[in-house]
Amino acid sequence: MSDLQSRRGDATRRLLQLLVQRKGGDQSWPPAAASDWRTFAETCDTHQLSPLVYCRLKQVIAPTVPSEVLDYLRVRFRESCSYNYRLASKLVNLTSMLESEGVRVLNFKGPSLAMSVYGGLSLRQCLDLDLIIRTDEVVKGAKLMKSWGYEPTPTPARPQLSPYLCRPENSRHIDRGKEIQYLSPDGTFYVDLHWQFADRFWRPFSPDVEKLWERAVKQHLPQGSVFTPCPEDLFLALCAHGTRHRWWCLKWLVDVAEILRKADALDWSRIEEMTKTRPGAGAAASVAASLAHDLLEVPVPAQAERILPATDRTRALASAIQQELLTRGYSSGDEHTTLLALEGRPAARMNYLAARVARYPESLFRQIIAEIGPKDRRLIRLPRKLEFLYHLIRPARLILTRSKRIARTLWQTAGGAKLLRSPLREMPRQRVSAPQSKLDASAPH
Amino acid sequence: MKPVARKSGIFAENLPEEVVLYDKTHDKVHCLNKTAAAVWENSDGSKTVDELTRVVEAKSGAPADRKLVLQALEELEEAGLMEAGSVVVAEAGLPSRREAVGKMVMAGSALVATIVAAAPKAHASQDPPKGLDPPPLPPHHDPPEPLPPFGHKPPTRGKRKS
Repeated sequence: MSDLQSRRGDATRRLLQLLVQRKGGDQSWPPAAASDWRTFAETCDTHQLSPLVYCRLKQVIAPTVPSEVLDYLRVRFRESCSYNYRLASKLVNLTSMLESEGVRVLNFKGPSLAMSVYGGLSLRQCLDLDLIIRTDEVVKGAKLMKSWGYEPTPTPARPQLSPYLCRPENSRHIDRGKEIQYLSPDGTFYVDLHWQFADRFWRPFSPDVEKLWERAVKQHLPQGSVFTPCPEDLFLALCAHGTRHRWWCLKWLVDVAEILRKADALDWSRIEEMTKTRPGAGAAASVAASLAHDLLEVPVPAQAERILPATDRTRALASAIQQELLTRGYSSGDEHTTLLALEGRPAARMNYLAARVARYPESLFRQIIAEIGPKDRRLIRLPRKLEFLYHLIRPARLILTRSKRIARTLWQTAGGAKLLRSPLREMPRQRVSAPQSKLDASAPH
Repeated sequence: MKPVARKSGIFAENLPEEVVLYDKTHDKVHCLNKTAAAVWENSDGSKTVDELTRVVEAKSGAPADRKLVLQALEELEEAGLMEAGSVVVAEAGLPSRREAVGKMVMAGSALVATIVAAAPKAHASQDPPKGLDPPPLPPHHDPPEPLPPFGHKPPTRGKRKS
């Protein structure tokens, strides 16, 4: 691990400590060197938590913070604060314009979330507007947006989707995608027009969009009112969103933590009902609750633990994300790895992998041939001149490893079936109980 | 003089050590420090400047003098947060406005800061931090945005270039 990564990991740990601390008094908290303070400020920016950190620093330990850091965070706080109020004005205007044309709109994240979770618009850094409209109104909504001067833009992360695939007339995009991103006429803010919370492979992990509408609630903003998903839908949607992005931005986790801190306000029976029909949403929420508990020391209510039980998969994923955040200061944000870690249904996994290869054929080439990993180098040490041979060794090693794994799985499945038919099927239980009896025997009488 | 704060059309957000006021009529955001916030909250038309000074001292816990309260009133008036005509500052011995504000801004402690929204630099809400250890597979990520140097203070009054 590089020195920078280690410093970022350290800064993230300090950031988490600050967010956990409700009251001051921890003398070991402040970073020692000026460079540590700089990394700390950068980390606050990376995790979009500068406004919250600025207020917390002023409240808790302002005298020990270098003035230039506090000034820097103050600038960030004020920028974000004024931008949020501006976004909220735009949100109310745009919502009323769409509704006057007969397009029903819900607001997800952004200013309405800031208002409902933090009680104001200053503490949460918002970057864009996320509107949800009905799937059958996407074409109409998109035409209206275009007529008002909003320009569809590709997301920087997926430039290859532009321009044809993002068109609302493209029914394939409507079926499989989730949003169209627009740039405002004055070029000062972005609007994401959603019809789903997630792309098709992530949908099982999000709440059902079709049922949002009957449960929607009104959220008051200083500029007017907008409709948002009910708190339970919002909670599950935020958990799904954060998990999909592997919680690389701690702002999302702080949102979830704030909701969990006021867990009494949630109707857990409703969440139970939702997660019964969408177990994946429960799994994503379980990852979120686990991270909020471990990183931000949020008490998870007993009913939440019952409704969102941790499984081997959710535990492993939460632990991996936590490890990444604490050691390197950020998680990879890699949706691919996260989905494979969370999705347990073989058919869904195969379907996803096939679609991925079709969409990103170069990724298969990169993964199988181009990218030489430490395991390849450990297998055989080659001199520099012969390093090109790793590109032959790697596919052979991968085929061998995967074949072994498949064979082992088949063997275990067949073995398990045999054991079930065998009259000696009690054998495994006896094996498990053996160590216990040993312990009993060694215990003093 | 008994100043009156403008409360209609104002949304107030109380934060630790700071109050954020959103002026719905003019679509402007103002950040008030503790002193200015105490002056604004207590300017109800029933208190003179001397009375306000005592209230501010008691509420903020910091020593406040008449000059500071007058300064706050002037800044609040200029930001459009006082009822028109309720503040008349014409006192001898008061530091010139430019001098006082200059000192406070340099110290990062302006009483009232009016802020205008800046345009977003990039739409990066869904892009993880980049450049250090990129994920092995698509989607591709942009390099990180350089941070402005410490001590960088964009103007808090007047419009920013978008």
